[in-house]
Amino acid sequence: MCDANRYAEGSPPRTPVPTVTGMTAAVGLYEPPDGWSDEELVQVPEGVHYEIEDGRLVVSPRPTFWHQEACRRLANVLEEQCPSQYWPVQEGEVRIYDGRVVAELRAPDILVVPRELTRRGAHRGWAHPHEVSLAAEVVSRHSYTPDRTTKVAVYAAWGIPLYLRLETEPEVILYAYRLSGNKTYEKPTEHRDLFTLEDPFQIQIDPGLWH
Amino acid sequence: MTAVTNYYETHLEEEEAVGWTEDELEVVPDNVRYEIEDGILYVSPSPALWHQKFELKVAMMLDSQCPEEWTSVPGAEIRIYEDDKVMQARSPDVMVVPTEATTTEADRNWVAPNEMALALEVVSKSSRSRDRITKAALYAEWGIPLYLRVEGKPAVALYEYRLDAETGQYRTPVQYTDVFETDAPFPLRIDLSALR
Repeated sequence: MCDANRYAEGSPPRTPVPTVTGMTAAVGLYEPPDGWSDEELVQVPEGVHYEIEDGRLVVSPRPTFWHQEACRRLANVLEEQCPSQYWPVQEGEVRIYDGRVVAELRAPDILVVPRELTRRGAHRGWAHPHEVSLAAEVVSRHSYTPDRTTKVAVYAAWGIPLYLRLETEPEVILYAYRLSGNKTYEKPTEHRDLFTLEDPFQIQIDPGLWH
Repeated sequence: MTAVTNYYETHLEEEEAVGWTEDELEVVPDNVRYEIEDGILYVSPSPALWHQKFELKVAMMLDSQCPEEWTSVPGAEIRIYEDDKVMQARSPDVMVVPTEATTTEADRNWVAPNEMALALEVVSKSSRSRDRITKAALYAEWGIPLYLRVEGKPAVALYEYRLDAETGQYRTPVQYTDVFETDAPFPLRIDLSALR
């Protein structure tokens, strides 16, 4: 199961990456003993969908075509309407480092970040939590719990001012969570019709786009 | 893990293959710590020895104070089923469950969230974000009335999370560094100095 080429004899012991059971072997990832530094993360094969929680890399299943299509439509709306200093990105990473290693890494379906991070030659390919003005998730069957409960708490604890959750089954509903004082979100507002956002910038989102 | 691996690789290709039946979970080896989220099984490592010690001590402290109808158990499972498949499974370090669920006659190996009196997690380096943020959110969502979070470093502290009936979330936790005392769900006193 171990990718023998990567780990020469005498190197420190590594444990399999916790993941969907059975995919460990398929992905062939073993945890570096000192955590995931930038150099170690480069080894993760492209196309593997991962996040890091408490310093541990967790691999999750790839999303469906519909999920990706739904994300693209949301990114398009945001792109058309965002002021020029912001830009939406799909599956961009938000990272928190502990020294040289990544302690926390989340990849929301959509992130709105400062425009300069998305330009050609930008010096880094991820965002700090404080740079994120909006995070959005399109809920799929593999992500009910994170998108509705656990990631919501993470984004709030990280101070992300606005979180959008798009449900498309059985009915299209957009939920908007706004930060309250104590690093939690207020009860989300529900939108079945045109949703107008005033802050951090003016945007209108029509849930009809996902019908 | 081979059996599990083969099972999952086969079933991942089938659209409806989400969730684990009890028979399928039987295949998971005893020493593997796992949780199930949205029907997907994730494995996690064993915690440090100090963590195990805290867990054991606090479970015993709780148990010695539980009234007859409640029992404290370490490492048990909370499950949520859909039809006959386990869609959610979590194992708080310690939980207090109805005594009748723990009898040899009942012969059960899980409880539903609404049966629980409290859940407790001992925070270690490998569970900081989970115990402080994601599990707190999840246990509140599941309606567990009391969540206790015990920190071992840099000093021993206990955080008490109480469910707010109006919001369905936990109120801002209250910190204790010396002795934690409460009357609900039953009179309970945890002397944190005994954990060190």
